[in-house]
Amino acid sequence: MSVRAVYIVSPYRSAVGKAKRGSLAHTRPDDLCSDVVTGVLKRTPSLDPALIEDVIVGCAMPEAEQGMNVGRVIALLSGLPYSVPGFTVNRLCASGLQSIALAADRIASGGSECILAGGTESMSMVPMMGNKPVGSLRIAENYPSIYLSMGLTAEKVSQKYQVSREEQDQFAFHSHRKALRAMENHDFDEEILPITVKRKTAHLSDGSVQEETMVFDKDEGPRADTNLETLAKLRAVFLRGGVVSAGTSSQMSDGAAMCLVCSEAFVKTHNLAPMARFAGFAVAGVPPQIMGIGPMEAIPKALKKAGINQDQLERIELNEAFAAQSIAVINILKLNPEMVNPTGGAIALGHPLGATGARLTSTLLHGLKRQKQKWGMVTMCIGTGMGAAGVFESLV
Amino acid sequence: MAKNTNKSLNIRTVTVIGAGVMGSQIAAYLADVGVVVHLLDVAAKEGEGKSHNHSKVEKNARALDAVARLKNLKPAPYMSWQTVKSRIICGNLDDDLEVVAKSDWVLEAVIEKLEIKQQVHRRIAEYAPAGIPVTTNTSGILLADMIQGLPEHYTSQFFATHFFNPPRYMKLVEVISHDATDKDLVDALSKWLVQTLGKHVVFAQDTLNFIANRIGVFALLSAAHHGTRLGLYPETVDVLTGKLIARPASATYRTMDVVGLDTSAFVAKNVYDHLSQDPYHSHFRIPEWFDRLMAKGHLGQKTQFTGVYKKTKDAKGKTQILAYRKDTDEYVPSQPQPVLWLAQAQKTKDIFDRLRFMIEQKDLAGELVWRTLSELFSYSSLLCEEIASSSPSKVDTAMRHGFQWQWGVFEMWQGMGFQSVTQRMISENVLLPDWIKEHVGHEDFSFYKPCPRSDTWALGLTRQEWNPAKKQYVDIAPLIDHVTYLPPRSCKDDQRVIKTCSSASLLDMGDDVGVINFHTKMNAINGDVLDMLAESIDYAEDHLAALVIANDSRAFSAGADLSMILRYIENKEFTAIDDVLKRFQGVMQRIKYAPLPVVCAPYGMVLGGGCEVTMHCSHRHVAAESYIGLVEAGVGLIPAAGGSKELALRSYRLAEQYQCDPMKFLEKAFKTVATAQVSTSGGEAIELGLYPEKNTTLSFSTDCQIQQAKDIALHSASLGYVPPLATDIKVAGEPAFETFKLVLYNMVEGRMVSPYDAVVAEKLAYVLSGGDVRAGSVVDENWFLHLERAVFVELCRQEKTKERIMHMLKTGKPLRN
Repeated sequence: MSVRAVYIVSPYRSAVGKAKRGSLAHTRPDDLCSDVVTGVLKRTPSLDPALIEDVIVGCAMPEAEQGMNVGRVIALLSGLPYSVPGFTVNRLCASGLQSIALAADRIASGGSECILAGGTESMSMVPMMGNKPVGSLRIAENYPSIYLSMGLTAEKVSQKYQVSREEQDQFAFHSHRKALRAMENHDFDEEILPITVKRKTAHLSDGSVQEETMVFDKDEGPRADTNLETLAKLRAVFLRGGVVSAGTSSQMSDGAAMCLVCSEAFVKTHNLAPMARFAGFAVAGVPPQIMGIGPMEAIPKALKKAGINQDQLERIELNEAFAAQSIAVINILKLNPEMVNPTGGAIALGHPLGATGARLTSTLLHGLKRQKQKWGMVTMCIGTGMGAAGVFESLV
Repeated sequence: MAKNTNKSLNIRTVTVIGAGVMGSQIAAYLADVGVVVHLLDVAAKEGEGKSHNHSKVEKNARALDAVARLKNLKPAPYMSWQTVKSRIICGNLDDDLEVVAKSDWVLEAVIEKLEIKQQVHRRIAEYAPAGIPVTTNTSGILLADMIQGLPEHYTSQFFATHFFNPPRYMKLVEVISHDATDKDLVDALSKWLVQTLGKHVVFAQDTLNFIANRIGVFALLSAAHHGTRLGLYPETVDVLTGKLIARPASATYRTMDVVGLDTSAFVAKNVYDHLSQDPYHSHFRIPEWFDRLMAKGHLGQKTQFTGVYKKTKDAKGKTQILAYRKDTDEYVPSQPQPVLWLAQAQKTKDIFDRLRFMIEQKDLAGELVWRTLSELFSYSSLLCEEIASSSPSKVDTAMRHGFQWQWGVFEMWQGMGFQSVTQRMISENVLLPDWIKEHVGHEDFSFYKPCPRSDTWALGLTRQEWNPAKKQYVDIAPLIDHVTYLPPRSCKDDQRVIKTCSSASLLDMGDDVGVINFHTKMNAINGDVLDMLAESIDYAEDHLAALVIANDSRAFSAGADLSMILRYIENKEFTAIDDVLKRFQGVMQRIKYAPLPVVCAPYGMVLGGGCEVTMHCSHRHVAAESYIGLVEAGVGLIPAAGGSKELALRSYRLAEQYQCDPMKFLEKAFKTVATAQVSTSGGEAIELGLYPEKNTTLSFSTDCQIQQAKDIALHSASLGYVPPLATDIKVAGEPAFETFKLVLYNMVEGRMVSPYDAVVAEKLAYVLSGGDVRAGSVVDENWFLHLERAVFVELCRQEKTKERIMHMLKTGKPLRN
């Protein structure tokens, strides 16, 4: 079976909201993602939506508002004909990238020509671990650490790789600075699809329901008021006497991102303008208690699949689950820090679990285009002890 | 004494004028008991407060800010912030004085300046309806001065209610009337203060500083005067005049720091300037070094914790207390001068033995204690007639509840030995009035005697006191009728005793209601108490309509007798522990399923086994000031007298009722018990999930709580009491247990709890889950009782639990091993 080239078309995202108290707190993740799908289709006017062969949506906690096979729900909500199927994929924090990789495999093998892929997550509505975490006795006996809270895994990584509190605070501070600078430069304007958010509130004085509509198009996470001093004062939240604070952890967020994954023939026939070629993908397992090092294993594997060397990479979107694991990955693999997250990472911009892989893809491809760079990568660590990485070759 | 008048007040709306420290805190407490409060202060001027437009809201800035500031006060001046928010309506004196016309009581608490108070009352008089009480919360200004120039009709409804700071916690209210006051109105409001607000009311004369502040400030100044004279450091004086002599730990100087040196000086100056004939007039002149501190702005706690003491941090960031040295005008680390006999005094448990021992010491420290106490006795007896209308009990009540003294002046004098103390005072030429001197040599004299009549039960009469003006003993009549009782050890032939033993009794309350009363140390529950509970139910089944459980001391019950459990552990008698638990659980089940209502009246400390007793009653009438908790985890155990079972049963029942996952309720119960949380008020026990919302009521009245519990019991019996039905329970089982373990795993890994905390918590989780059985397994109540016992005994076998119990018995504090 011959392997075909895979192209990414129209990778767009919503702006990322702060979970619980942000602008998207009361927007359902299926509604949010269908708005993104609608936006993607609007910006791909030459495509007949009926030709989409499948919709794959990554989601880390696929239950409640994002349950019931949210992939299919989103396909229907988006106004695609009922003939377009859909499904949900869960690889926790890599779900969004995994859905693109799954689509890519089907395109490469010739099984499909055009698939919508991406991810969505409302951490406002579905908490981490889901609404009803129930432990398994059998897994707890052999791998109790798969139940270790993510923050504690970051503590263990910082211990093992000797990442100091000061380094972490520095890293977090720069993440905010970089994100704010990017926002000032309007770097995200092109990749973000404005989302119309409706809010109904009780107007107590006259008994009426007040309906407000607002357009949400700016990431809410980055803080202009943060500085090294305030970061240093934050208490370690996961381990008494530890080093990982709320300020050096990724933010809990709401968001969605989608793109089209197509074959070369499809792109040409329908006159589409692909932004990149999807060049390779890999996942790897690591010990659950230090899940943060996942990218150390996944990155070399993915590079090998793409057939390029690490030094060919010009931009890396490394998900900042925690400053501790990000620094460990950068140090051990000797990644060029200048190249990693030049427009800020999840510590500033937020981490809507299942959407993150697709969010990073969108940011990477638009970033490569702006900087006229060629090779880029999206990578992240994954709870329960895994890492994932995808390699993209920019075409614009 | 006039007891009952027919007049009663329905106080639903109160206007408090003056949103200062006292006004706003009183408003909060009134809101807690269900009163709607209008809190008014001077209209804020332009630019004051948060916004700058001259709207009505902004004019209320002073009251609004005062209410907001309540949140920062510690201890909390209210029980529920929600209540404060919704029941206090802020206003200003320009726009809102008409609310006075709709009020049932107006309380003025503006600044202590005569002219301002007079001016405010002239304005209130324009609106106040006839017949409602209007009171001033003055601490020192004479009413006789205040009523000058007020309309005549107004003076009859005007008197003083003097609250103490903090008003939620200080139980004393001094009520002072003047010649023209309507005495029925005073009586009616005072009853309301006792019955609804739970205060102790003392009627004081219209004399400067009234009773508590006059005597209390004298006691502080006397100790300060002699301490200074004898060359003792402030911290030495505080060691000697605090807990050792039955006063609060803040003793002399720290009390002044807390109150504020300026406020203390103001009260003293008031006496010094106006009462030149005071027998100890010169004591009221503030020592020169006080003026020096005040000139520097060092007023105590409110000025960055700098007054007589200074709270700072040392190089390592540890809190350090410095004390002032008047000779060098500097602060040095607090270091009391050595007192050779201090350890021995601290070891002497009996307060009167201790006091007798201390006053015999011939060193400077001994002299300070003797001078402080003898001058206090002298001063109080000299003033008793003038300020307390010849009632020693008024002085004692005022000092106990206004200054938190453990014993009143005359109670202490009597306890130390009236004859020996008085003779020494006479030999040293300490000033004494004739009414004291004439009792010297009469061995049978005492200030108080037990009430001789047996029909005094229903009236709340328990003691008589010597009245120096009448030269005879008179009843100490309570303001309102309420049931009170003494543990039978002090009235052995009491007709009301149905059953008694050294640890507990069953008494007849009348109307076919019995009251069970524990009287062990801290009302701890031992085997005899359990027997008494069981025998009382036996008796009640045949003879009574209802039962009340009410205990008489600082604590309703501090829980099961730990020393007994430790004995069994040390002798490795683990089956005996199981037997004790079976007995305890059996009695609790009998309370729960008794064919008659069993109503408890918990207050103060309601801990561990004590809490479990209350959880099994048909109704809880809880004192607002209660500290309730299942605290077994602190000693490495879990509640095993049905407490864990009750929480589990309620969780499963609620889940079934509301068709939801029992885990939501079990998690709450787990958190409350695993972390040994104790409520900070009676109401909070419901919020913590310890008490059910149904069949739990709150009482704000210390004096009436037991009477009210009896009324509830009788009412319940008269409605036709139906005992609860035992039902089967579908438990959450193994998945729930695994989930609890998952939470605990992360808490241990994060070092949020000690590994042994987690061991204990896991056992609790096991019981709450109903064991590691299939989810949905059907069990009964006995199954839970069995789990409780099995887990409890297992924990008793652990060395770490033993260490925790020993530590608690030794130090009174939990060990986190």
